[in-house]
Amino acid sequence: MTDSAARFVALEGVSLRYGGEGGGTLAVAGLDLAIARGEFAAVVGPSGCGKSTLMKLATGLAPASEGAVIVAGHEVTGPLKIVGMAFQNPTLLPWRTTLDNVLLPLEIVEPYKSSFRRDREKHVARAKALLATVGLSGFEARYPWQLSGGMQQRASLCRALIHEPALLMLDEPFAALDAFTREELWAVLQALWMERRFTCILVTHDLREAVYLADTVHVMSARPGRVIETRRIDLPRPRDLEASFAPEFVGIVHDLRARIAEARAAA
Amino acid sequence: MTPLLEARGVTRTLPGAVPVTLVRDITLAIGEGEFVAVTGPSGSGKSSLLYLLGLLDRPTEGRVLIEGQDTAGLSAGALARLRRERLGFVFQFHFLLPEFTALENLLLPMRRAGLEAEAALRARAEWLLERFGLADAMRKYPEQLSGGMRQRVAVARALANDPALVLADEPTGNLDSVNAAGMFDLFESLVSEHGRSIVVVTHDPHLAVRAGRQVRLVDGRIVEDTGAVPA
Ligand SMILES: Nc1ncnc2c1ncn2[C@@H]1O[C@H](COP(=O)(O)OP(=O)(O)O)[C@@H](O)[C@H]1O
Ligand SMILES: Nc1ncnc2c1ncn2[C@@H]1O[C@H](COP(=O)(O)OP(=O)(O)O)[C@@H](O)[C@H]1O
Ligand SMILES: [Mg+2]
Ligand SMILES: [Mg+2]
Repeated sequence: MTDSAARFVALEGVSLRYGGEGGGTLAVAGLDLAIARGEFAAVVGPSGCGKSTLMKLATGLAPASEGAVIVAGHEVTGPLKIVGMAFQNPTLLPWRTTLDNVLLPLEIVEPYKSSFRRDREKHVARAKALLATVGLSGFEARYPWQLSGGMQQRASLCRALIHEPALLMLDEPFAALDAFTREELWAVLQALWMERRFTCILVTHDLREAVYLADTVHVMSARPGRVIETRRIDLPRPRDLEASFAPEFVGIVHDLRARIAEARAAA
Repeated sequence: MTPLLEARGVTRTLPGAVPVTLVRDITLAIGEGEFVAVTGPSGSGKSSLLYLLGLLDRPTEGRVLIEGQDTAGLSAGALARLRRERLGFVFQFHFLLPEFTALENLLLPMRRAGLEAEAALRARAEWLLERFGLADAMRKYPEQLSGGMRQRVAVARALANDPALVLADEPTGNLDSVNAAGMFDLFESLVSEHGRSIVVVTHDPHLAVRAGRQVRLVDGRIVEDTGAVPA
């Protein structure tokens, strides 16, 4: 693997302080992390340890105070418009239908933007096909308020993927959902990833979610956050809920939980 | 004079084994330059009413007219165009796109409407942001702005296509009292200086009284309307 493939997303000695010199909050410090192209990585850690900060750093939404952030071989100096993102917050525009929400990135991101009007039919067909793969056929004309929380997050995943980004960033995307819906969405996300093999970084506080979905789980220390352990998850795919109750799976979750408890106690 | 927006006997019932009625027999006319506060307990149908007035939902009974035009027969596409050209929306969450600056967030809906040349759009977007005290925030990303500033950008965006009416659903719900009052200052100036109409849902009685007219909902019905024209 070339270096830019093995280190598709790399944070090197990164620190970030909110609120300026000296004062403020040191959110992350000495943060090192490397994620290979096509890998599914999960980031877990105590609340407030800097997980969302890590996402902002990797997408260029927040500049590092120290160190370097590299994506696809280039140092990140401003917001990357080529990544797909989904968050816990509701971010589907309420005044657009599901279909128009999914099409949004194509209207605003090159190379699609300049030919959007001309190629609209083609894009609509693609958006509908994508919605179908997450079980939202027939809901294209609905508005977000007419969808359940789980359906909204399915649509958000489609919006994040419609422009075929090389990198998908998910910050606790399922945290507001009930456990049953959340587990359904694990399977949906895994299927999308297995088919498309984008590089994915998932921030979650749910350790079962991390182990179910990820190739590698990175554990962060308490604030200022840094990666204190990286665990490979070699369980066969596709993984299912049944597998999540098997001893090996449960053992990994247990190890990770112990590691986070240590990190919290050390804080 | 023809009202800007009018609901005539509007009822909205969700079908199902146990049908749910969201709002019932709503008759309401909103004129040019009116500032209307919609209040009522949680679950009383405020958001449902706003969606109906905003052409994001259709009544099961009754009619919604915009500038005298009945919207019942219009296609989804025609409704979307009306919405884009005549209405602006603000919600509790700002819905700004994180990977775009404040200025770019305003330009997105403007370009979509595609009415003017890029330079003219940009000038108008900058003017709007300056007008809202956001001159220094134009080239910043939502992440770099305070909650109050983000919400002001969201209001500026709602005005991007020069709508006749702004519909706001609890726009101050995530703001502290100082920022919430600031947002209502902004609404007042839009009405008094620019002749816009605003319908704002709020459950804060101190803010509601700042509107010229209060409409109160209980169980999906209007129980009080201080601005209703007597029949
Ligand atoms: N925009 C900001 N301004 C100031 N402090 C912030 C900002 N965002 C986050 N923080 C602080 O930085 C630390 C890490 O936050 P965050 O990355 O959101 O943690 P996590 O996502 O792991 O809960 C927290 O102490 C938080 O309060
Ligand atoms: N999609 C829906 N399905 C079922 N019930 C709904 C739906 N949307 C709203 N409701 C119900 O309709 C009523 C009115 O809701 P809403 O308009 O959101 O009230 P408000 O904004 O005043 O809190 C509430 O009882 C709510 O639970
Ligand atoms: Mg977070
Ligand atoms: Mg509401």
